Amino acid sequence: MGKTVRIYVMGREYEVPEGLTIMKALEYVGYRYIRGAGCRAGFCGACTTVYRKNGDYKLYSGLACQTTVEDGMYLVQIPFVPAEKPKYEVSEIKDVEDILRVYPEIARCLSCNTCTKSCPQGLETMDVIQSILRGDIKRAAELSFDCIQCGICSMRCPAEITHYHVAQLVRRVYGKHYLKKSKELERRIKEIEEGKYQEEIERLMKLPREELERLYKEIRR
Amino acid sequence: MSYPEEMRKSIEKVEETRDERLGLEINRMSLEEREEILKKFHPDYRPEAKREIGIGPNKGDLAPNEVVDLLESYPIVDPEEVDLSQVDYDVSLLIIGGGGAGTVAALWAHYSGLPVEEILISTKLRHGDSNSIMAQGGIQAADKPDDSPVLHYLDVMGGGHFANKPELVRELVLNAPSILKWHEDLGVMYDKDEDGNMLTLPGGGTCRNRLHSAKDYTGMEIMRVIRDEARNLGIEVLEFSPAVELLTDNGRVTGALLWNMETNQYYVIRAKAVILATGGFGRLHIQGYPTTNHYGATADGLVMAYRVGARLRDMDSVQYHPTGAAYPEQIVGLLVTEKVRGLGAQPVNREGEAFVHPLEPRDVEAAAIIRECYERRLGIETPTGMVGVWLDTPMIEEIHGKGTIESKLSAMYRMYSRFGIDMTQDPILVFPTLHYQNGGVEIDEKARVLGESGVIDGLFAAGEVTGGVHGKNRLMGNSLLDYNVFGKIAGESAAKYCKSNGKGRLTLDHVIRYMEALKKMGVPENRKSPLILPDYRGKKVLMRTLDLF
Amino acid sequence: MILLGKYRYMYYPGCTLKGWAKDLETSTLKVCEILGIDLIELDRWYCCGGVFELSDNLMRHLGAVRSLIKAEEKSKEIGTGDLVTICSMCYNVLGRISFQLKKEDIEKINFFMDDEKDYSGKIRVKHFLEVLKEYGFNKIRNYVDEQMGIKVAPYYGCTLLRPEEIGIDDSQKPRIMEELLEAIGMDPVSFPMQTVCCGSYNSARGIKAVETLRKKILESAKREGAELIVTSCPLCKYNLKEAMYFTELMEMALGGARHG
Repeated sequence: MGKTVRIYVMGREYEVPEGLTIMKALEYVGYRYIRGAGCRAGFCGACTTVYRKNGDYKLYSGLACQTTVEDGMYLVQIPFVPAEKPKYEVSEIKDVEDILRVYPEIARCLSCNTCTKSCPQGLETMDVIQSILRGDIKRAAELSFDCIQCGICSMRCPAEITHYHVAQLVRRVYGKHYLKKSKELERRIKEIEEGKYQEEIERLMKLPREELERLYKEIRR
Repeated sequence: MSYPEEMRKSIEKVEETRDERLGLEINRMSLEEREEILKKFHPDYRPEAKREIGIGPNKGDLAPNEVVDLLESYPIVDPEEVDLSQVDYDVSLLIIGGGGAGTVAALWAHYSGLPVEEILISTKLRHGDSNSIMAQGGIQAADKPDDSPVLHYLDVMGGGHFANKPELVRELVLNAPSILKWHEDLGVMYDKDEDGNMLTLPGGGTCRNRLHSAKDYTGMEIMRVIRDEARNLGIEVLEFSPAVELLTDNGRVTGALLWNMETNQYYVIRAKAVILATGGFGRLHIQGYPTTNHYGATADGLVMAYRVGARLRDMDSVQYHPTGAAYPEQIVGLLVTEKVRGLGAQPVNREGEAFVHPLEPRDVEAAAIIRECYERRLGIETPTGMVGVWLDTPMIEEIHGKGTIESKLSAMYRMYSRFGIDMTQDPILVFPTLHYQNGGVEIDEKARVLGESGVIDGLFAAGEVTGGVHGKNRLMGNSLLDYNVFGKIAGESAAKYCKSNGKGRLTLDHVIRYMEALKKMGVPENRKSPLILPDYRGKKVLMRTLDLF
Repeated sequence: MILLGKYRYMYYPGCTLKGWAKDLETSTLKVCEILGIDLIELDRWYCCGGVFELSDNLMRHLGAVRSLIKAEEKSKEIGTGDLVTICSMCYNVLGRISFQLKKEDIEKINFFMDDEKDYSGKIRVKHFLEVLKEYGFNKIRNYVDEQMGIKVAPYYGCTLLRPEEIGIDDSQKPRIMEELLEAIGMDPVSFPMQTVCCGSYNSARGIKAVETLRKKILESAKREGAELIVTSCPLCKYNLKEAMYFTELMEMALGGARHG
């Protein structure tokens, strides 16, 4: 083994090779994940980990699959975030008043910025909530777009806001009511419904391979 | 963790040739050239990596060793040890798999008239944990005026080496625009112009700009929206409860056996119809390749369906994504989306030379990279011994302007930044990675699973677990489309089936018969499947493990 | 660096002006355009904390402090430490917080903010009425074509005047709005109830006292012959039901439509 670092998994000390991700380090020392691992590539938010470092009062958070182990890390993985997800009909939700009816607690935001500081994606989570409060749906949707819904913001918020659920609603509201609908798409759907392409495709389906190959080359010229 | 000295030297050469390469169009290969490079360099053409399946409907067909191992395995559940008389969940429709295909199927089954209480989704990890959520680049649909479903059809067929099942391809391309419309209505934030029309990019093997995206989080954006919709409707999802076996009544699928991974309890599910939406097999690490796939991609659906008598097709071809990360070590194998090439980044060798058009079909592109590394020996070696080629990402900003990478490839940019690499300034190192199960369970155009003597009653399938749509090679942007189109069709077909059929008996008779055949073959009894999850525990620990309770 | 005129200020809109009090913002911006005053909105700003208005717990006023910090950043770019609000409530909260933030409080807050930028206490919070006074009511007169002579009662409420340390005018006998109204060709009428509270957020809780206050305030103004009441506060306007923003009246008087 080359260089190693010392990590503490829920308090127990282990020595692991340096350069591993937190996820691989835990597997290296013998953990087999059921919870706490999903896509293993930074997209699903299953592996949220909080940790402290030797001699540092700060509580850090990160994705186990995207964070390299450091010497002196005290680690614990968050297996699940309890968060109420209200049911709603997106077609009936259009502005901040409607959103406040679904999530009244967002008005409790204290601007403490803890959510932003804890986001492993580096998003401006507090600005998402603040943008909603002032009715700026577009900004809230865009600022939250890269959210992987790991839920760490919601675990740390003193106002008990579930930012990742709120942001999900805001993005859908923006996508549905604020982004214009594609006319090109509608035209094409109408053509398909009228059967414009059916016959040609049925003909292609019966063609021998050589003939298809010829056509395939032809459309590439 | 920026680049070490040796790699830096090669980067300097890449920088030197960049201006010249920017103005140069690289020729695409002819169909003949493609065939040749595939035969010589694509991992699928290594004969020792495959063997004939020795049992079941596909006896005699070639498949990767890792897949054959699972098919030629005893069940993890002993049929004698489970009590099927006590039903835990009694529903009309059971959907196995809570990724894209399963969620879409649930929604469309409901739209087709099944009450939500009659639908149950079971899934191995959490709802949405899937390859669907990881797809970055986009989704294909022929909606632009210069494009048409006919061109899309030809591209899919050509990309799949004309081995695709034509009626499935027809459904795929003709349903594509209406799927995007459905997403629009649900509130998916596609990249659009000011008038609301979709922004499109080229993809490998597409003759038109047909790739629709939501930054480079396309799969995540679609998945989280449809999941939110399923939650709004109140569709029940059993998480951490993978199916371990289907249940049958005289050949008809009538339910499934689930296993609670946390308490080890099993659940008996009775259903009129079952939709298999279990995804692919990346975590089998075919030929030892790293993979882009999520933790649960272990081919469980293939195994369960095969024991019921489902026919598999195109299992001899495996998709290696041409560009998996090859450096740094922490992210080896993770996906570098094709959109990076779509936006203009070229694959470049150690000497700074471009050696292949950036947008050949995936198998061809992958083979060209392998050739560059192992025949021409012009790859770049990392300190841990990985070899790869550069993907010259700074070109993107030269072509499309400063800031393009951060806005259009924010997931990629973020991933590399986390490990100290600024892809706007430096190229990134890539090598093919195991990406997609091209083949799978054969279905018809109604998403019904086919066996040796036609349709298997009560069993439907959608998404990566199925084969036929993509032939021998899937094009970029067609997997998101596939799970949406066939998820929808499966949901509709299953809902219809539920209306005219009752429930059946619950037995494991098919498993008992399968076990007898295995015994005749002489398969060792300690070989078990489905796999459920890969085991990445350290060897040192495993050697000293006691299974005490 | 943005090219700016002589009268330039950083601008804090507040949530209400971006929501149901849009008229207050649009009319103000129009007036500014006519007079040549540059209001530059902060790139980042947060709810002033109006909902926690009377709390003396600093932790409830982080939004206000954070906006002041953002203003300090912005001030370097545009070369003024003046931060302007139009909404009386935002003025009151931001003003009070910036006034109350004594040295030890600033240290405490900066310590909590930790890895964020520190606040050094250099921002001056101003109400738009003060900006107009600085600009010069006499100068505004030049933009008025017609003496309309409408009898207008300025309603101050409490938030512009109290606590006295941040009041923009005498808390008992304010004159600033009267002076402005006179300058734009109106006939200002002061009235006894013009500095009485409108009932504030009690309206949101459906408390009847708000209705009683409304009647008293309106009657008091009418007794003095007022044809119109103006205010600078969205909440007062909401509670009084029959008031308009002073900026809307200004826009009219300055021939906003003609200039536009």
